[in-house]
Amino acid sequence: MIGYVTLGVNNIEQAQQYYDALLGEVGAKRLMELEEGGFTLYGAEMSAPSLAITQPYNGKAAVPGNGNMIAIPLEERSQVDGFYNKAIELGGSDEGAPGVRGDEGPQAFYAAYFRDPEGNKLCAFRVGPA
Amino acid sequence: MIAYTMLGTNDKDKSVAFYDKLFEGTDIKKLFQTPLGGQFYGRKPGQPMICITNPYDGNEACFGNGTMIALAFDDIDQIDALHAKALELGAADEGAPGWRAPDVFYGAYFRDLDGNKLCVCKMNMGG
Repeated sequence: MIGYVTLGVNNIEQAQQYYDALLGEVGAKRLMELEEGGFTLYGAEMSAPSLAITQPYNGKAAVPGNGNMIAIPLEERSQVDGFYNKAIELGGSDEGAPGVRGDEGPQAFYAAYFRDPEGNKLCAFRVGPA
Repeated sequence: MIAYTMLGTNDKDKSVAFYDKLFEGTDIKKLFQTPLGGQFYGRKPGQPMICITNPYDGNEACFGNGTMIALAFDDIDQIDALHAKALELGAADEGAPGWRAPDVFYGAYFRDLDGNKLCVCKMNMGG
């Protein structure tokens, strides 16, 4: 049901560098760039829901929402660890280290939480056994 | 690459009632709840979902500026109807339905009761 999600940023060039490096880890690349707002769309392919960064349409400062979060599914727990470490290394901030939330088991939710350099909250997770 | 997106609310019951009514008659269903009471909506398992939730940190929810969730539909009439219905249910208009890029992108924009910006759109972009 999601076509794409945009995250507001103030420094589009810095954000492009951040997301180029971070999303490159999971096989996503720039799919589309618009002049307006520096809108840059990332994804593996156009047919899958994608993530965009942009300066706000209303011309005001970008502000992260509280309660807003984008969750990115990964296939292995080690990928969650790697993605999270990269997110922090590139200048993101910690919002919850990788680990199982809830019970361990065949449907275990293994997740890590962080904010990008502008404060937008993201999560990387894998559902399944270790 | 997106499994789900969370939207913050300060009045979850009211917000859930809004989304219940908005999605009524579409193929988007009310799904499960998180242990913390977040309410998921989606088309079917395995497809990206949205979740309406109180913020995890216990602070007040606020919408992001520049943050937007675009919900994809195939039918332009349905987009028009959803935008109209959202406004009827108390959403704020952020842009009437129309082609933003001819034959490529048809969209309508609104903010939910907490100010979260959504777009309902049809995308003809090879996917």
